[in-house]
Amino acid sequence: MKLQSSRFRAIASGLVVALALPIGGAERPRYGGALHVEIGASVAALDPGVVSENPDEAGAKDDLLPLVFETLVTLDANGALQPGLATSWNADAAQKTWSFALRRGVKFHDGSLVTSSAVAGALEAANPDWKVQTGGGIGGVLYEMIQISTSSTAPDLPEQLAEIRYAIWKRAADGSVVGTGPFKITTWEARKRAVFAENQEYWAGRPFLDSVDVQMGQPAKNRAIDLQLGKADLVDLPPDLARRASDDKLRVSTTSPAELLALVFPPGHKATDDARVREAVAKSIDRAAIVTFILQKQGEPAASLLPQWLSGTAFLFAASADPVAAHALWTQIHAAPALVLGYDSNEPLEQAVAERIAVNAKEAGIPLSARAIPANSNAAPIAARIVRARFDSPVPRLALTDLLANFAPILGEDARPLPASATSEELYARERVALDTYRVVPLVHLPRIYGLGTRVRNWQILPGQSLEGWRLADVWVEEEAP
Amino acid sequence: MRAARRLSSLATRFLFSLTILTPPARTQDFHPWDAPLDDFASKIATSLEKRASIELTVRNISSIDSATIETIRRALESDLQRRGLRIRPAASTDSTVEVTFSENVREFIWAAEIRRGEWRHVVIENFPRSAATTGAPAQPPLRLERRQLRQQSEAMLDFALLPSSGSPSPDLVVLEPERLVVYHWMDAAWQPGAAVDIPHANPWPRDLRGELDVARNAIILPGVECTSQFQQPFALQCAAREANPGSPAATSAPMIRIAGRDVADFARLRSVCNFDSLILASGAGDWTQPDTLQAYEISDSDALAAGTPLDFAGPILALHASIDGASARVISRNPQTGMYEAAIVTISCNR
Repeated sequence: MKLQSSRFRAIASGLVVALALPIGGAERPRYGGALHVEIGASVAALDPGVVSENPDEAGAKDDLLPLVFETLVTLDANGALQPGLATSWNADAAQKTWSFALRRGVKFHDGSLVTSSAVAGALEAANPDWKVQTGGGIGGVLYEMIQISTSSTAPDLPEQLAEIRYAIWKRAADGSVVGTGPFKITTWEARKRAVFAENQEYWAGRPFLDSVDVQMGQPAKNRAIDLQLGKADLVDLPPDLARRASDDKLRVSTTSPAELLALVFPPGHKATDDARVREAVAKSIDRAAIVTFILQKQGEPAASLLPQWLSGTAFLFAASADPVAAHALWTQIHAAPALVLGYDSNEPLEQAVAERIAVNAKEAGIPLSARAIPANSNAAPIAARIVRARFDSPVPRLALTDLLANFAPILGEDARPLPASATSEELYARERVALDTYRVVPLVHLPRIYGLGTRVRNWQILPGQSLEGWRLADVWVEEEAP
Repeated sequence: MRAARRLSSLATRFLFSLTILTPPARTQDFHPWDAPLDDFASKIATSLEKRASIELTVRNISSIDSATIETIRRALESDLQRRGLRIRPAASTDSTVEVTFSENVREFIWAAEIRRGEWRHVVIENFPRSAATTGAPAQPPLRLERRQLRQQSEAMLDFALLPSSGSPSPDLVVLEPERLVVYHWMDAAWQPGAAVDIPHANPWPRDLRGELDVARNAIILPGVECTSQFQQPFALQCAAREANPGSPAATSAPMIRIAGRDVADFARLRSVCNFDSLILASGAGDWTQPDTLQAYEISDSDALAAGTPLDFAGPILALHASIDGASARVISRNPQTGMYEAAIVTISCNR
């Protein structure tokens, strides 16, 4: 009897524990259904070989490209290399020539096999400096091979190949660009709508979804409302609406920071060629207030080029404002003129940040005003402007090299490529040198923010994969209620 | 009769292999951070004058747990002192060394900011991240115990421990989507042995399931069944089969109802700890979430949770009962490391 009683209590307590636990785990995914997506940006063409100048369009394109296109290798959540369209790879002793064995039997969406010559064509188009040769055979087994030769040591060439700009594609007979990914493009209305259908022949197993329907150029408020009404399953959200969506208990998914918002002082401007002017403005900026009030805490104050998750050394750069020091510096400058800070007239976020910086500057006694300017204008009276730069790789050296290249016209010699063997200490030192000129002043690191419908399952963007775009092959949707 | 005897023999061999498997040996004094710590201490020491008095402060913004950080801090202090530095309270030093244990997505980053008056110098040591190990105690009335056998970056569908012909330790046979691999336990690690590719004409379904049927030396995969000598899988004989459990057109597998949901993936265990009919089942989230393995006692109409669940960092992707029903083979994926983990879960009774 005692045994029975204690056993009953044990079972009962176990039951309570089980019911109280959040249900985690591994329910079997459901095949079928459509994912309805709404985004703010408008994408002209989904072509890995074409670079978009508009940061919003570039971001949306980076999200969508992995649906259709794949790379030879991928990076996992820890930034470690994993096989993609290549199953193995190795380098020569000098790490100047890399060989990749291609996965067998993979087909482009037009039904043709992925050959080494098709791969070579795509890679040579992506990087004309590479010499790409084709071949075959490892240990008597017939594998399609490619060999990439570089002019200098390239120990992280495989990591570079994980970037979507090195996706493998070919031009089909009808002139369209086709890939090998889990979804095929079935409808493309430039800047309006795209429909992607599941690739039954996908080498890694057909995706769970039947289709993905993307509406482009949707206003932010409409996207948020459609998410709330269940008309959209996945939307991108600006920071203010993301906060509201969280308050409304909607599902919000925020990536690790994927973009840098910075202030740049282009050379050739009489006033800001004086380093003390740039330093004074930089020291007056209250980044924490920008994150709190403008970004609604959806971002991180940035004093470094790379965010903490990417470099691990961002904490070594001080992000706090020092208006007293800013004022003291400013008073040393004789006959300092009023400064104009430019922002992209189409970007509400840039405008809000620029106006906030103007307020901070005034508090430090610096006469600075914010002014809308056309994108990419280098109008003479503009002393500084707000710019956005996306991180291209989770590998610190590659990310910093790309970022410095973006700022090359402003940083000059400090933007030169980093040696392939650069250690974390050397990366930090280069970042420090670049920032100590105050030509580029980091402001905030911005994440990408998405709202998710209740029926969306398996949505995940891990830190190491924050820059890789959407992995919708594993996403599935619950059946809609009748 | 011969088949029954063979099954019994195989089951005995399998049980034997489970009991003789020893956990991987651990060397008490070795830590993965020993070499980086030595380099780090050397960099700090060479940035300072010999026998300098320093104030040392430490902060941790990495995922390393606080107990481990404390061990590392003590080791760093010893190393710096061995190199002639004197660690003192702030008031009696002219240099400060502010150590931060940080990380990025790929590496641990240890930084020391060394200050003397206005002079500031930063030294950094970086090394690859290694998976942290954690252990969680289980609770009454029965206890689920996990013994992790292997982790790997390639997907695993199933595994089996089988007696080795040339070693007292069993061999580990791992079924991956594209191949069957045998590992031998040597030098405190699983060393890869023979491997054979699994032929299949069509792409596997995305939600691929597969099972090793040790009793029949068979591999069961969607639409394919292969046979082989598992310990020496140099050749597979494969034939088409009808069922295709991972495909969209899957035939319905037997289900059991737990807490209002139909569960297809469960492992039925033998009677143990006074529970007559036990199953193990995982949670109901998706592949992005942590998972749990819970024992349930099955009655006529209910499944009652028994004992506390065993936590997994990521989803349980495969769950198979052993031949004797005393344990289950569990394959999960750890989202922090991206590794697939193979473990044997057994039940112990709490007295």
